[in-house]
Amino acid sequence: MRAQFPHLCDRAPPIPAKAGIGVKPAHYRELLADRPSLPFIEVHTENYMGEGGPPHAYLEALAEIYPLSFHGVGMSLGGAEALDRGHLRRWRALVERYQPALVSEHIAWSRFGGLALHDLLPVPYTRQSLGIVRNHIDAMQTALGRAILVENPSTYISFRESEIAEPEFLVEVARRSGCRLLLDINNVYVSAHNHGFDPRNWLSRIPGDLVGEIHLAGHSLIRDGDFTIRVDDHGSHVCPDVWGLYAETVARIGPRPTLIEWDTDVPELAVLLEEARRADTVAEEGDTRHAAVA
Amino acid sequence: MPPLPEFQSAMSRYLTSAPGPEVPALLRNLLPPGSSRPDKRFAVYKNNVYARLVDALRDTFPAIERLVGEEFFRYAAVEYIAQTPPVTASLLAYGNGFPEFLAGFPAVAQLPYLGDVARLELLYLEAYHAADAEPSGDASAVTPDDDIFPKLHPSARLMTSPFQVSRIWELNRGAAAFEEVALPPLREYLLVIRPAREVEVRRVPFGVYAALFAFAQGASCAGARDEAEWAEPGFDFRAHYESLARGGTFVAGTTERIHRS
Repeated sequence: MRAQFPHLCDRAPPIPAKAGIGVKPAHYRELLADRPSLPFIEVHTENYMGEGGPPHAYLEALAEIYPLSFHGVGMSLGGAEALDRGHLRRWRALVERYQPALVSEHIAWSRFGGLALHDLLPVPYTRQSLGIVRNHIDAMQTALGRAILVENPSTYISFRESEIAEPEFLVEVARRSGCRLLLDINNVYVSAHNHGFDPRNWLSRIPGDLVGEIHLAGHSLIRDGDFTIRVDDHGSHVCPDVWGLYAETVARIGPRPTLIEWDTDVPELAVLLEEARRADTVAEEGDTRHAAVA
Repeated sequence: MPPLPEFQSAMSRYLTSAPGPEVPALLRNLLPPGSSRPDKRFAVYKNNVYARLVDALRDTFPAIERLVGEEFFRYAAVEYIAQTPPVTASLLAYGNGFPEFLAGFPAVAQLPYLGDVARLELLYLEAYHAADAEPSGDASAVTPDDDIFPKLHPSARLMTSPFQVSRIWELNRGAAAFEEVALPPLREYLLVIRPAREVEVRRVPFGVYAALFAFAQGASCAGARDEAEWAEPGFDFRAHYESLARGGTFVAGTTERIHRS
């Protein structure tokens, strides 16, 4: 199936397996003035769906300096309804205009009955969902003319009807649709806590050749008596446990383009750059172990 | 387990209903037996949805938030979201019903200008994201020949208000200290436009507003002059037209001549 999109890597040069950052409007000017060394920058595609104006002017200027990654949050690949054709068209126009090196979306749904819910909502891992997600990824890849990456979600509920474990669901989706995976290690950690599974075991079930990008972010902990739940709010530093899982993952599969996501309480650019440098250091250590094993 | 559409329909209704602790039984029953604190778990999703939408409204209506205060803004925003959940995957245009909502919101009836200030903030956002276009620069474009049809810049937006909304807006854009200012009702005519990188909010005379309104409807210079002179007897159309053209109001290369036989 993967040969279906052989031109995936022809469009833009491959991104080095180093850490980039998610770009926020507050950092446009500083990035353009200082041009810090970064392997790539990532933006939420939906934020560039206006017709013109400063967002596009800044993105054009940034695209002259950095390879781009387009990360979508609104396609609703796990939605029971057909994909939103207008949204697909706007996506395609942006991909044609900016030629991003990476394109990604989520295993989640966010749209139903004409409402756009603006959250990445969980999908029961059933055979029915597997078929739906696979068909939607097909439609998106066909519209864009290239393979995409899909990201594992952070979840707060699970479903009694789920028939397939999450790692196997993701692997099966990738194998059937020809897409690859965007492995969000913080999401694995958050879900592992919320549902009581072992994140190491989960990660060990994802074949390295399917992983095209890694996401790292901070999360928060909500406490109510004995009950605690971890919430994926992208509003703080990556936690020590997640750094540990990242090092182990790189040791197992080798380094990948990696992104520091920070979307709420966005700090100074310097803090994001420092977090990205730390990811490079952790990955280099992990990669040494990977090379030693290989 | 109900079929996927039934779950997603129930979840959509739950997430967009007014904030509250109640989770419908249909949703609670989806969880594995023994799942701890189902209400808390579903609430994370609902909080996420509301937090993101309130933030989107705060980004679009900063002057309104400053005028009514953070806490009241949140209250009004939550009421609005429950009435008008978003329908598009991009949040760039979310809140286009918020001005009307505020204008009819009983809790702020003593601030009759609020709806119009919100309308100005919405037009500012529209101009910010509007299509790019090169304003006309050549001499022919600044001469108001009767039979040309000047085309407004795609970012141009017009509004009028019985209140001094642009003054209220200017005073509440930044983080300057609050001061009490007397602004008696005085009708304003506004052109919101982004001829270059920055959005500009221009107060214009009634005659100019009438001419711009005519141009927006596709009028020729002759038609626009008629409207402007009706609005303001003795209106100096040529001078105002030239000033508008130099200010980047019209788009290059789109003035068309009528070919008379």
